[in-house]
Amino acid sequence: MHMADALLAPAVAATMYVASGSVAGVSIHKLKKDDEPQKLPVMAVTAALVFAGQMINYTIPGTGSSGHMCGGMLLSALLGPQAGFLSMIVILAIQCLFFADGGLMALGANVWNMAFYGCFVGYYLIWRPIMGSRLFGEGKGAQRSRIVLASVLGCVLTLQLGAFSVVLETSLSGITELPFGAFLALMQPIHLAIGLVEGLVTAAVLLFVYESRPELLQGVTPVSGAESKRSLKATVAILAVIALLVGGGLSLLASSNPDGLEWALFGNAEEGYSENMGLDEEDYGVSSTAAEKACAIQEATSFLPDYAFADNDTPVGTTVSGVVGSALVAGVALLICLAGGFFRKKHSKI
Amino acid sequence: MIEFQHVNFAYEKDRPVIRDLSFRIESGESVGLIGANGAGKSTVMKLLLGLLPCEGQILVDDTPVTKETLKTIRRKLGFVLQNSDNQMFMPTVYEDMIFAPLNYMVSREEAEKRVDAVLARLGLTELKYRHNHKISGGEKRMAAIATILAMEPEAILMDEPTSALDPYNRRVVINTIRELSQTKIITSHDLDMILDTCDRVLLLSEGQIVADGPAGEILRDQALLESHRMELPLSLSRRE
Amino acid sequence: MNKMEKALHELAEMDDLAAQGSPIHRLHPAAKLLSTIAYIILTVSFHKYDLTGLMPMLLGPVLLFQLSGIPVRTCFYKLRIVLPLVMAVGLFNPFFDRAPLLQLGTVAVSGGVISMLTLMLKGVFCLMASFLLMATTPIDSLCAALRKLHVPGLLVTLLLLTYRYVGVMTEELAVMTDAYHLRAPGQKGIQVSAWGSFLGQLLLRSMDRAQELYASMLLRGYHDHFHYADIRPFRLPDGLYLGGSILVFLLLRFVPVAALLGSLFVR
Repeated sequence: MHMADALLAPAVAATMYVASGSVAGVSIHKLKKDDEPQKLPVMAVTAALVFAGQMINYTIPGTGSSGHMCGGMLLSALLGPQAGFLSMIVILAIQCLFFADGGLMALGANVWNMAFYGCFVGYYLIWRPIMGSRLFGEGKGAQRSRIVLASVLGCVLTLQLGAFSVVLETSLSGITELPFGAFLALMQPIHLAIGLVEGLVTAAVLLFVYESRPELLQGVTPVSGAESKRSLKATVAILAVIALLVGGGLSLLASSNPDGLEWALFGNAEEGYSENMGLDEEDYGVSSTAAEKACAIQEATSFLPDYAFADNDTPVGTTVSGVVGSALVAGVALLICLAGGFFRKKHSKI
Repeated sequence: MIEFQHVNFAYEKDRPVIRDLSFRIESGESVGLIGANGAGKSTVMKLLLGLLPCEGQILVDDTPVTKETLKTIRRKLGFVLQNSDNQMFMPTVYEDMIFAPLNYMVSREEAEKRVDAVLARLGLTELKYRHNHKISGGEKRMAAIATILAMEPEAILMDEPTSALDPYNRRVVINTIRELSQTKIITSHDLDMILDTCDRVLLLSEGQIVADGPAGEILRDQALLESHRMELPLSLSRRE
Repeated sequence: MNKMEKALHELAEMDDLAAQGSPIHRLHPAAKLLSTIAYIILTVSFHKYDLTGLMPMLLGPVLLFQLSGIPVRTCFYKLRIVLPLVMAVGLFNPFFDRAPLLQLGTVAVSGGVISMLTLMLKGVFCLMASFLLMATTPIDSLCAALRKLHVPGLLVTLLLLTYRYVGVMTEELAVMTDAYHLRAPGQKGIQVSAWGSFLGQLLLRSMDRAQELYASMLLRGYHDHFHYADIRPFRLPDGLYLGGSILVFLLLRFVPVAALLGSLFVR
């Protein structure tokens, strides 16, 4: 979900920097007020661990594929939302600086999409309320179930929010011609699956921590109680049933309404796009029939351009002389490279 | 001068790790602290450094180790950790070495001079700008010692300074330790190294001192060592 | 070589590049950082159809690569991470925006194709610029620069410490991954029964490590803030570089260099 610089307009990037920066400022203030200097090395080591942990492949049972962990929920469950947020910033900064994963200018947006939702929304809306509740009853087993539920719900929700933001930011930047709704319809389901896997991995890690050192988890009061794993299995079963219902429902909807997906992809998309972007284009796709739609889609997906020049006056034109000039520029760049290499070789000979 | 007076410590209630421990180490002594796993060696170090609270009294140069005196006391003691990665937390060797002097309000020029002098003395000058995660295990251990020497402590504590080193690097570290003039307290299972570097040995067992005497005597006492889950140093057993 | 070892290798490579001593390496890190940010903003700000306007921006990084003695090709390996999402977004443009913008002989090029190419080039150019920054600036100097630019000390210190332990943790996980796969041949990833314990074990050990690390900081006189080793002053050449580079980028941005050049040859 790391966005590159090219996907953002400077104004959007700056806005996201301001947003993420303010949250970081508030977090730093809170940590300073708490005055727990021993937390700094814990944050650094945990952040480093999550950074490395993101590279682990987790095999998803029953499928040939594997999943990963992003870490926002894990960090806020271990360190609290503020410290977790700052740790995520640092992880994203290292990924951007040393691995070109995400861009320098897009860092603000990436922090927002991945760290803010994961740490703050995930913690205050999901983790703390669920862990503080009496859901599933008393005792260790219930607490385990709450950890699983909070992790899965938290990861799914925060990834959905993150994916939504990616779409919103890209669309606002005017980068893609892909209509807002279609882009959304593409991103959200993918991230539903990703979130589910990430949630289960996060739950597994947190459960392991809970068994050995429950005091490490934020908002969890260790209980000594009857050992029963049944409720844990029950939780997983409940989650599986929900997943099946949602998945089954969606596919049922799709099959009973053959152009449902197409509608989601294109028809509704146009509508959403126009509304959201404040643009009023031709209203095709909004109220047309399936046949018309199929035609429109076919047209929309044909790669070759119409042989009629659009009568729009393009603000910045790509002209033939521009193309020739660009070729010259590329040539000059190549020459600089060659010259540099030549001088280096000469230099090393001396 | 370091003195423990009737020190008791327990991580969990009713399971004491250190029991009524008393000893005294004079300035300039080099003392080996030996004992089986779990005998309490590392705990003694941590108590001395004020990292753990305890019953009884610990004195450094006649100053008791308390919260108020920690700063002055820690400035006098340099602690070389067993895991150099945990000790070297800055990106480069140089930054790690200059960390302590700058914290102790030494001027930057003087701190730089100290760093260069220590590096030259240990023959590590070419390590100066190297990254901590890219130097070898032996180099890292030497750099960790350099980090502590740059503090110019009055006493040096070392936790397993020769663990996981190849014979060559182990010898380099031993020679370095021998050349240090400060008070030294070294914990290790490498009894040959203790024999090479220490004059006096404290044998710790279940949180108590069971033997205290010249290194040559205690490390030759096969019965004593074996009754506390240790063996004669190789260099001594071969001769017999 | 597993994924973690590859990452370690990449980190080491960046460190090696940053340790070289070209004129660009010697510049003040803050000057380089600000100049890079200016470059990225100007590059990204080109209109989506302004492919020919964008092209000359290539000259900036290419020249700087040469001055710093870092071969341009070293950064292309990193493109594998940048390009997929950019491509995924950009590839739709030719399908949705089919109004021809340009006629080259008998071939009409649609706006979508132009905007896709523009987007991809922006991605490549920005990568080149930020790669160059990190390839000529060690992390410790960058942190010192960030402090100078008033980024909060807590965040900068955290970055510095995390960077150090990223190496340590990645190495540990690399070893653990190898150990796992040696006992589980044919498995592609970590099996569900070990999902929690694999990372969990290391996590618990890391907590102890953090404690020891904190002790090590305290024992060496740490209180409240870190001293950064690099306090090299901002000198005149740094200012000249910063001002000069931004001026050149502005010229490249607002003077249609390619079109002017081309019009010398084509009417």
